[in-house]
Amino acid sequence: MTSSPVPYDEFTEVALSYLNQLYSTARRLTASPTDADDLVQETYELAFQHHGELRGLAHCRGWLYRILHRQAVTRYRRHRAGPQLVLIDGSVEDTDYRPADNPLDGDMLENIALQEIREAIDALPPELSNAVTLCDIEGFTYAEIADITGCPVGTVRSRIARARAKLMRTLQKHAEDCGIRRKTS
Amino acid sequence: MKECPAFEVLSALVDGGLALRREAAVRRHLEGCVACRRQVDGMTALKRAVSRAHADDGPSPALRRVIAAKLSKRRREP
Repeated sequence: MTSSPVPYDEFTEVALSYLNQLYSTARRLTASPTDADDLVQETYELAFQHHGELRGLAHCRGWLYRILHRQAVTRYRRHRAGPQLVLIDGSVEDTDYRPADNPLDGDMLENIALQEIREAIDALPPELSNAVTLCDIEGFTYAEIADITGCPVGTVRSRIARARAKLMRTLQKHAEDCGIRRKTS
Repeated sequence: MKECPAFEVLSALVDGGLALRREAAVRRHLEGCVACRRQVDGMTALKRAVSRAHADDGPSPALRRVIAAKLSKRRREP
């Protein structure tokens, strides 16, 4: 069964309601606020141009994220020689799954400043931070993230696991260095 | 399930990303494995922390204006 295109006014109202979320994601995918502005602007231009392809407002959020990510990859490839954009196409992925030997529990994580957690996320390879934030912050399922990023579900699952393994190790070391917990022998 | 599941499988469990039968098998394993339970508890807490750490840095007013202007221009076009 095919559904009819969404009326333009209804589409724009819903699409604009995601501006803040899209911008936050664009900031994580780019190296500067200016690049994020450009990326979001390009995303909305493409969305406005092609809104007739959207079948149902329920798909609008995922559709906008898909445009954003494809556009981010296009921008990265266009500016590959320059330093302005971060790598998001994962051409060289590290495969380190080594989990923390002594994972932090919820109480210890509560004692770590949010800024430290943000910095640990930002220090991840972009394809890993992208996957884990789409999952944990934006609340997308693995299948939706696969659709947005153009990767197989297995790759999404693997990236999220590697992101968590790295975050756990980084935050465990931070907790030990700050005396939030004793060093493991 | 005698052997501990891979870390990737435990991570997917935290996200509800396993098929029902697999999830049931992993949960049975967790009942008898303290090490895996600690990893799952740690990742569950980490998932909450990542969500909490989200910086809501909104777009600049200039970007809002640009997008709104493009939108109204398209509305006026036939």
